[in-house]
Amino acid sequence: MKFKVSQEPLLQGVSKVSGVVPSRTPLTFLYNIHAVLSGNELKLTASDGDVFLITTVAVEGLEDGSVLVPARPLQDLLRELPTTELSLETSPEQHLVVNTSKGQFVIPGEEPSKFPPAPAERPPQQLSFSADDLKSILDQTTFAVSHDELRPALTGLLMQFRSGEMRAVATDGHRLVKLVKTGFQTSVTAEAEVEVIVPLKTLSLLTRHLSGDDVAKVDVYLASNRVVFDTEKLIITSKVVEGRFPAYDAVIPKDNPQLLKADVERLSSAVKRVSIFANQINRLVVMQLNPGSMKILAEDPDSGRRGQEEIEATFDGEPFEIGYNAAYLLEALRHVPCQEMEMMLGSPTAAGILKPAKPREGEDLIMLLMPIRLH
Amino acid sequence: MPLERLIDQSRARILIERMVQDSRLPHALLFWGPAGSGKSVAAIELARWLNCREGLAGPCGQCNSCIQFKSLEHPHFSYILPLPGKALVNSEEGELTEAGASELSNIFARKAEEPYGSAVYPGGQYILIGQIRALLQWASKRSFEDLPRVALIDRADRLREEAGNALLKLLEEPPPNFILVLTAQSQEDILPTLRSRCQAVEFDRLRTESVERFLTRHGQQETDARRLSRLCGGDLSRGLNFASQPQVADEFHELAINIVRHSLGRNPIEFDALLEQWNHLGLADQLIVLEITATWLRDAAVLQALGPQAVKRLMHLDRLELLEKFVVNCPEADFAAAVAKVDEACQHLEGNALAPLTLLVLSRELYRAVYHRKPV
Repeated sequence: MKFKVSQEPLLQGVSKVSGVVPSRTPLTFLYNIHAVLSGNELKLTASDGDVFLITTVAVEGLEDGSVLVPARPLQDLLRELPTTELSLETSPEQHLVVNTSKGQFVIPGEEPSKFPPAPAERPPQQLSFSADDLKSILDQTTFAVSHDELRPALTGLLMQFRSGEMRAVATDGHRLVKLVKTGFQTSVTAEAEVEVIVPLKTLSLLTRHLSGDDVAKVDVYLASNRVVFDTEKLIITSKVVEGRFPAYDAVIPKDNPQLLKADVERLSSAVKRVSIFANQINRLVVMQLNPGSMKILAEDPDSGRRGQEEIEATFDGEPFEIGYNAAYLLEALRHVPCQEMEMMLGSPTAAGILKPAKPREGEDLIMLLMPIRLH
Repeated sequence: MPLERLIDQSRARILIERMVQDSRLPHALLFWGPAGSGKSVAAIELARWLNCREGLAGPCGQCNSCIQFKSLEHPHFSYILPLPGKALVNSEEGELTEAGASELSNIFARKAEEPYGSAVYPGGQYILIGQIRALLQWASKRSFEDLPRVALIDRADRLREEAGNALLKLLEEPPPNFILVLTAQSQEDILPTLRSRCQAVEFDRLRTESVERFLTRHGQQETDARRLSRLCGGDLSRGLNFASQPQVADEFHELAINIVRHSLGRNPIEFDALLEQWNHLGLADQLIVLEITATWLRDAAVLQALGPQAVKRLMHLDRLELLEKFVVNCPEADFAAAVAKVDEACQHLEGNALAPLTLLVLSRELYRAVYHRKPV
């Protein structure tokens, strides 16, 4: 393999894929980047065993070939090099030799066949989102993904294509977020149903890429055993989580007649202040609801501390009290994408449904919060 | 040939091959039998076979999957063995430290090179909850290819209770195309809740001739191979260790016989010297020495019961003269009871008993078993 390239695009390419390289693993081949040169296109692949990141760099190709080279020394070297023209080639011993006008750097590589190949075929089911839309979906849902390995199906985000709409659902058993997205391009017929559970790590890598790089559009390909996100600059191919996602529609209350409306910022600030006085184990804050106002209370019987604050709110039901874990409530409020939120409540023991008063266009977002039983 | 690197074990081999060929392989297997008999080798060979893209009749050795198995670095294979807490960033989570990852990678490389070699992480006493959590995460991802993933939990008797309970979830609700292989020396060593969910496959102690042949093929002189194969008692991992350090094998052999000799001789100066030598050994080596002591006493029992016609059955043939003298000088000895006392001492050591105290107690018990009276 032999090619010429500027330092900058090569560093960008290497940095894009090396984010997935594990820092500590007994599977040493995963420390490497698999580089394949074909014509004037250098394809770089890195993986942690579950997720493959693939990008291409335009180079001046001189001799096709491939090499498996450790990511860290290559990235460190490229970072330290000035913006200059580089000439790279592999030696017969599978070493990568980086030549600059004044220096030569040799990185011992490995036999390329040691690197497991990423699935080559694209799944046929394609959905296309603008980068902003997909980022918004991920921002508003992934916080509720569970970290409990004993319930693997909850450790990812359910992406479900049904009736022409895409549903993103996450839950950890205490809260559930469901976002229904419409108005995107798709190759899937409206009757078809496809669903996968995407691991949280894959979504974190995708979010980092969407935030850091200038991405306009993301094509998402769904198959029963993998999901592919193609941003044109980076292809993320990921395994999906085994198991059946719970029947989430069954736990969403159909009849929560009492409506609470409040300013998100004011409510968040009040909950933050009052929760300082909450029991440190269950973080219980109580919402005392009356028509026209709402009082937030917290009390820690162990230390004798207590706090309360009243804020403006509209509530159209009978006066009652409901308790929530302050951390869950605050996290839900943080992900409401507008100034005002609506909360539909049933009884003090029934799940409350939190929604933005003005959802983003093409999005229907609901967050379900399980209350803490009072007394 | 399937399981081609497995030595002997015709019963286990036939059972495993039949399960694979009849598509009746259960999701959880318990390979149990003596140390060094090839349980982990069989698990690795099984995983290699199941993942070979060509190999209905056995792994082809040529495809990408077979090549990856050569270094034991295969995305469909997970190898779990007892680790010390310091190998993990946090024993509750499975993330390895840099030193932990590097040591494990070296262990796997050695195991890939020599499947019968022992895969032991220094100081690794237990399989930790963090390791099982990492396994659950690994198992929870659907594979890109429609080939089985195999997880090997070597020395599953070392599962901490909480780790065993976490593993139970995987046994109760296994993901599709996933096979878990546990290994242990005895079925009884495994938590009953796990044992009852596994198909047991028994492994026999390797025949001395098989070990001898293996060591000869691996460069040992015939006489050395014969001596080491007897000394390791059918444990090929130990045989390979001894072969790589013959002076250690001799030292352990001598020490094992001296434990009996000085226990009966009751010479305080000699016993002190023995104790000092004993205290310099690590726990794993102390257990090996005691196991050799047990084989010495077993030989004595055989010789006592069957006389000269039993000579061919003896493990310590190279010390036959000394053994015969020992049996003649102790006509009333209950060698079976003495062996039981050595096994007990091993259990005490594994249960974290003080090593010098264990040896002192053992010496008194050996004296009592041989002379039927309390030592003076």
